[in-house]
Amino acid sequence: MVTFSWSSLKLMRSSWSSLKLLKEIGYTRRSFCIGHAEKNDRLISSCKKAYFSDTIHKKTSDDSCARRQIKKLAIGKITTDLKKFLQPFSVLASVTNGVKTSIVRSPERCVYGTGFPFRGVESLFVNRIRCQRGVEPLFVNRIRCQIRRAYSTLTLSIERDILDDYLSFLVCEYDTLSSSLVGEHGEGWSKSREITDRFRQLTPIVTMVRALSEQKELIQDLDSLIAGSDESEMKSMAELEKKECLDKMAELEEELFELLVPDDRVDKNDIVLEMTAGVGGQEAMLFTSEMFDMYQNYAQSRGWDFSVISLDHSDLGGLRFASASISGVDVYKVFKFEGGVHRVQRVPKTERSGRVHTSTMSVAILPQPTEIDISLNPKDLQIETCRASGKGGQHVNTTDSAVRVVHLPTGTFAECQTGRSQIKNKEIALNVLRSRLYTKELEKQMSQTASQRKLQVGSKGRSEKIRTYNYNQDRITDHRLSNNFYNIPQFMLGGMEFDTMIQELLQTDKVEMLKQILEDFRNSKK
Amino acid sequence: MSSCCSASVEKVLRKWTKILTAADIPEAKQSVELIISHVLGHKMIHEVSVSRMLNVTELTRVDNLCEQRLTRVPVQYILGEWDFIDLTLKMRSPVFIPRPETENLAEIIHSHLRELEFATSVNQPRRMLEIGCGSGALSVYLLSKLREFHAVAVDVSAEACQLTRDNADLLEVDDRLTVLNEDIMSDSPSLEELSPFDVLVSNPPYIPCDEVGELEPEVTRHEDHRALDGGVDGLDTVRRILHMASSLVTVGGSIWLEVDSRHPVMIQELLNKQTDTALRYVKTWRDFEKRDRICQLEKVHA
Repeated sequence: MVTFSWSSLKLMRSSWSSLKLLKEIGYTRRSFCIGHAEKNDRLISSCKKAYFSDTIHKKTSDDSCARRQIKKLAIGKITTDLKKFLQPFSVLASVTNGVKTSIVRSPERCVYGTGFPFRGVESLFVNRIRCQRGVEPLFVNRIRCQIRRAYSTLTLSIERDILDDYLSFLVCEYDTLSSSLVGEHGEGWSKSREITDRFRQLTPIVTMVRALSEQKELIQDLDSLIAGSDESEMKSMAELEKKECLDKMAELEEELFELLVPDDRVDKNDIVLEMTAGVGGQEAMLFTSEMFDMYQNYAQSRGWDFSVISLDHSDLGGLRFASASISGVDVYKVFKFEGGVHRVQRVPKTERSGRVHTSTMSVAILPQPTEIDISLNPKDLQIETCRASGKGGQHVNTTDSAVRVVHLPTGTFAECQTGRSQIKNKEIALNVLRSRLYTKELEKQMSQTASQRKLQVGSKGRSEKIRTYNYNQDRITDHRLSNNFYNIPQFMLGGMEFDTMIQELLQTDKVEMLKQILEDFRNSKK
Repeated sequence: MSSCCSASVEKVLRKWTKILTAADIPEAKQSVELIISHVLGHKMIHEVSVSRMLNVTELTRVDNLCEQRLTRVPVQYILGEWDFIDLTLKMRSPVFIPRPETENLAEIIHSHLRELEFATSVNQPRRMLEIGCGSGALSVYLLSKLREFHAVAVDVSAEACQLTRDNADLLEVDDRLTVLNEDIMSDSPSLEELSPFDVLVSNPPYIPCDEVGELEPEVTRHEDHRALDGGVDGLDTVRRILHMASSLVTVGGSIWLEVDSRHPVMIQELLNKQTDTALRYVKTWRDFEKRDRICQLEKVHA
């Protein structure tokens, strides 16, 4: 099986763009920073100042070893020691003018690099090398994906035994089902419907499992061929083929992983985003406004439709409350882990004595149901407008277009005064109401499947502190993730930095879910 | 009341709200918010930052508009525009300002015609008549949503006809709209010529005449009484429309009227008395305050 390490490696010569790359990747804790021996000290101290104050290590034996190796690399000699050092790293990224392939070459590894000298030696690298100058977003993204992939496979390998058990169990179930489908005729329709549904669900998984075991056998054959063969040409050909098989396996595993943990039912839905300033007065409101801008920028950069439902400005330009509806592809999926209490630690603009304050704001993410998910009976609705008194119609001319809708059976309500058209406001209020009811419904379902998942969505998560933005240390900590994020100003722009965190949350959630599935399976076997 | 230097949105808002409230102007704060947003190029105050500074020109403009409000001019006339569902239409004194109830009517008709279109899947152009078009909101909205429709809009007021044309231009439906400046209470031969119609819609004047004088000054002082006053029982124009519908509307065509909440019962009685009527009363629709508001009728035979 492929063994991955948690680390990614940065090889650098002297370039500042290397630093930038490392920062952009954002996986600093798992990254090593290696540079020219003579410039290393300066680089590391600059790093400390600039970006990752707590991630560059002190002088560990690893570190000094790496420095020694790099010194040798710099004078053009490749040693086996360095090869050993590089062994555990799954992804190598470099902004240097080419790394000698014999160092980085390994069948389990992806290598990414920039710079022209790669041209021509491309085939020598493991795979997928793109030549690009500088640190381009595409390049950074690709590395990020690779690290993510390494990460997911690692987690799979932790539960290897039980996973294999589980997979063979699924294959068994599949075989039973397929034979019963062939033989079965007279049974009730609903039962057979159930079976076909499950069958349909299992088919791609089983296909993947079988393809994987095929590759495994192939590798075993190749291994024995390599061991048994004396001819060097034969051997190298077999090794090349083995490398291809391993690549293929990694890809298949990734796909299998996606299949085993299906998307949430509501992942594709649009959302209503609600933000409320919490503890901390004006400062909390200012922060709410900054968060609102971040989400808006992010939504716009993804090409989603972001429309404001209501904004309650404070005197200093902050926001007491804000809500917006966001629609597009997979909006809920991306935003679902944003719900909860966000904490900010900094010296507020309003503070004169320079003390650091801690303030909070909370975010709620309500998935918008489709008309079918939640249908509202007009009889259950009480609609309140300013036109309640008097005769209405031509008799009165009012401009107050605010609408409040109450769902009588549950007491849930929604208000809207987005625009000048009352009927439009009513429509939006109904949408918000529907989202509220839907969220409640989903929460009920979720509490029934009492899960131990670390990542909570819905109201449970709403009161929970999920993230801290520490401006003094320029650090963002998501309390559900193990690593920190840096560069708050960049993060608050809602671009790549923010997306990295989202992706990591999603990945963590998937792993947790798979663990849960395997845990349930283990328990059911007992 | 002019200001000599710049001031923040918040400050101006506070100042004018105080003045209007002291003068007992209804929806004082709301009015000032709408005026400030409008002057700054927005619709709602939440789209504007409260700390934004207004320059001298903007301040003068706000002051002028707010002074108009002091004389009870409806906000819609002051701004010169208002929203009708998802459209922004021009508004001009003294043409009747569409109410939220009419938005309701427009949506009901729209969804009814939509369904009909699905059911019949006839793709030939269809024809609509609006009696008393005012600002043209109803016709313009329906034409902008229903591309296969052509419409004729009639109003007794020349100003209303012009405004309807302007709004049709604005929303680019003018090529499918004919506007007639005629009084339907007298014989109108041109309507006969343009008939038959598949749909007849109207928000006719329906306020009983003794109630017109008791309304708020925004309505009585500034809006055209020809769009409000419906005679002794408020049904003068409605009776005329029902009479005309018999000859102008095709068999199976629908008639939609916005009326006072007392009227649906009276209209049904009216139809029951006339044994020879070609119309059938289909349904009463309620507005969102649960008042009987909209009458749906159908022409059943020739």
